[in-house]
Amino acid sequence: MHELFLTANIHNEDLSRAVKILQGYCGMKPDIALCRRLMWEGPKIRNNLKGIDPAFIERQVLLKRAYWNSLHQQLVKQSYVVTLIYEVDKSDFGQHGQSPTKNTSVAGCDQLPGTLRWNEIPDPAGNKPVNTRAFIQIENEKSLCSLMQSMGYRFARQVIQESYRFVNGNVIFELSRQMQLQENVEENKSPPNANTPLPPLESLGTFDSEGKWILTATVRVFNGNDPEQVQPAVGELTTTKSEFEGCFDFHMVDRHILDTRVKI
Amino acid sequence: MSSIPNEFPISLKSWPASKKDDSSALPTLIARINFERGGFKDISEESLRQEIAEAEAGGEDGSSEEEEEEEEEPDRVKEVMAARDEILGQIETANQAAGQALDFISLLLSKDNPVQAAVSMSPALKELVGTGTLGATKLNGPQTTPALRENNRQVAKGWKVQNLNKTVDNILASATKLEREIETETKYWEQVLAVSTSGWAVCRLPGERHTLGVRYGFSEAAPMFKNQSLAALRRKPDGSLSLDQGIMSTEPQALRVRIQVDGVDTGSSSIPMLVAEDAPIESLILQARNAIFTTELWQELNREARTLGALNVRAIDETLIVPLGATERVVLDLAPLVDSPIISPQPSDGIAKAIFLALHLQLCFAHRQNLRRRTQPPPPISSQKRPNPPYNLLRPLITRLNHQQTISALNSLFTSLTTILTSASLSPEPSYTMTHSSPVLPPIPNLSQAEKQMWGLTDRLESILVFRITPNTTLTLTVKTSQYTAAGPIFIVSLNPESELNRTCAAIAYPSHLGLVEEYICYATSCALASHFSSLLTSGGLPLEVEKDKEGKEGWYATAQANVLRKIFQGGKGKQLIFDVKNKKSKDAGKGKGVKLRVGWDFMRHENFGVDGKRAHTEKDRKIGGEGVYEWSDGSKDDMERMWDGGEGEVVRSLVDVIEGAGKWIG
Repeated sequence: MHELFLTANIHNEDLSRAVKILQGYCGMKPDIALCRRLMWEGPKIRNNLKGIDPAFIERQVLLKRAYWNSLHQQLVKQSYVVTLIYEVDKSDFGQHGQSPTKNTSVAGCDQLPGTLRWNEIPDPAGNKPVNTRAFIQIENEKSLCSLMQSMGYRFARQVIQESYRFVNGNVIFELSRQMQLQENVEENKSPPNANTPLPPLESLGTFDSEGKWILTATVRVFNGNDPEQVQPAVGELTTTKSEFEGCFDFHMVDRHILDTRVKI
Repeated sequence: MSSIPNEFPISLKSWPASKKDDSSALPTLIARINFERGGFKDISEESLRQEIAEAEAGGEDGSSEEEEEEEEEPDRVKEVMAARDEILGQIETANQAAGQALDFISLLLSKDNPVQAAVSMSPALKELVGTGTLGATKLNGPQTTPALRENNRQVAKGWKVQNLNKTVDNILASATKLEREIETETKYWEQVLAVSTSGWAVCRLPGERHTLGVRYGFSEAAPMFKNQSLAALRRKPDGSLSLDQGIMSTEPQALRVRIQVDGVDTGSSSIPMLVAEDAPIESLILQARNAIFTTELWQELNREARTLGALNVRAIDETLIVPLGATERVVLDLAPLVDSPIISPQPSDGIAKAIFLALHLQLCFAHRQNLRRRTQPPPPISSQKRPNPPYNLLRPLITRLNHQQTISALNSLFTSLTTILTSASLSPEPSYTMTHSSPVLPPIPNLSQAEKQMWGLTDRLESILVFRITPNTTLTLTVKTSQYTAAGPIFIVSLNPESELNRTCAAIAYPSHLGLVEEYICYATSCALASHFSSLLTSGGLPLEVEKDKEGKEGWYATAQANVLRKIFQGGKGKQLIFDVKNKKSKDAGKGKGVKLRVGWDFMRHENFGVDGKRAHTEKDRKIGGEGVYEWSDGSKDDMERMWDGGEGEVVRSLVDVIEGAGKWIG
């Protein structure tokens, strides 16, 4: 699948105003979500990439098998940074007193259902006024961490993302901010498990000093090479951009910022 | 030329005076000759005389009509040309006159203001005369007397006073007008605020940005209705609000649900009253909202009705007909709001009102599902068109009513059977239970209580009925009615595994309709009773003969027909006992309706069951003792037919007694 998107930056002070505007525009209350994003880096080799074990793909449900197959084809050609997303609740943070069973094994995260997300680097600008990129998203899967390890991927880092999501027609608006955990360097290299208590939400620091939020307007298309599907998507995004003129500045981003390929 | 006084000493040449058609003027003649003949070279006196003579002669020969005709046209053309020339000439003259006047004034001014005058003076004049060559002086002083001056002063004062008075009046008038405006405006804003605080969404009209409007529609309705759901709040001259619905201000209507039996109304839902024009604005807005809701409901009902043909829903004229059983039907249509409702209560009013409310609730539920669908991330744009199925408004209602009818029919059947068997003193007593399965709620987070109720009423309509006839036999019936098939409820019948009936009277696993189910239940009951009272007495595979003085209820054994028992007496005479359970449904509530259990016994007249083949028993057809019929029914006492030999009393006998009696040897 492909997604076409535009991005805007929102200052932290403008957050509530932005949420109110989007609420009115889309006619709905936002879906507020908090999740952990685990970045897994592929091996730094050019050839002989393992990809996903075919036996694993065979075991999957028929509906998802196509996605796994296409993911396998991408991962065999090139080493990428793949993200695993796990939903968390505010109550999961700051439970220092709880007894953490200190097993830093992978098994902890494996028991939770998570989402696997792979993004391609956005297509070169071309004549479209929006960013386009291919992506694969497989939801509600367990044992993703061990799958990553079996492919030779290694855990790189973890961020916490809070997001507000609105939907208007085919356009999905996501207002999100990523925060990093103050972790020790040693723990950084081993994948977290579900049992390690997360530090309190307030202690998390944001990536950039101003705490800016990123607003993306996304439209998903089943086949990005079919102009009949892409055209209405581009139309919707440009309409959105012109309607928000003066309020949010939707623009394209440089494709290299969102490059997920592992540098060798 | 008359504008310049005659004694003025100027030396300008006057313009060529007349424009009379002076055809004899020499220059014009010469010009004409040059034009016509190209010069004087070829002309001599003789040739001209010749020409004249020719023209005169030729002119007479030619037909006079031609001349006339031609004359008419040239005359017309000549007239037009002459008029045109005259106009042009007059314009020319006017132009010249204006130019002359301009030159004169410029010349006069050129003495004092040479720059400006030079611009407007014509160059010809400048050359001819030069600038600054004309002067003017005052001849006489102003001839005003003091009286005249005094008069002027008075006049001026008068004017001033008049105008001041007018100004004051104007200001007073505007002040009062402004005060009134402020009053009405305050009233307007108070009312608008009241509307807003009572919960209605007030916003600017997209067309006229200076006017406020109220949004009274539903945000999850189809786009066609959302566009109509804005009304302007306009200020009437006295300051009160009026609701301006624009093009859509048609008569408000309400949905009317009527129950009809054979074309006659037996119940109707109530129609709300029309709100008066001068009622408070909130009630008008509410009426507008109800009207648009009704319009949408009617549209969606019709859209759905087109897909419900299989359920016998029909759209005839402007109404929808929904069958509600064998005789009753529901009629849906739109009725205009009435000023004074005529209320005469009818028997089925309750059902009509319930259906009315249910349809409205279903539409609200459909709106809620729309909201859920649109706030989820949409599926990616693909080449497949997204379908737009009609809402489920009537379908769940019809399904539920069908299910309820089926269940109530089965319920009455089972309770009748239980009553009969209890009255026949069957021991242990049969029992019957009915449970309704609880609905499965969809895995959507944050389902509100209202939504759960709606799901519960329409989803997973399933009931399980368990009928324990005898300790050995339990009949389980599952009834499932689904919204998405028009084939009716699905029945699943099963017997408990230990029952003998599994061999003799097996269940039809998936009976196709209710009649079949009821028949089977009755048959299974009779078979269960038969098997309850049978006992197996065999010796070498053949049934034993029973002594004639043994107890009546012994010796009955099962036969291939599961509801028939047989007994063989010593000597070879056989008797049979038949159990029959019937459910008669007749329209007239008289004799013969309801569930009946009938037990009949008689001798097998033409069979020989004995060992001794010679002792075949043949009898003429005459009534012999030891035969009879007994019936139990759940109907009234009148239904009981008793053909009892002995003519005993009216007490209801127990099954055991009857069988005991049936099994006796009286012969």
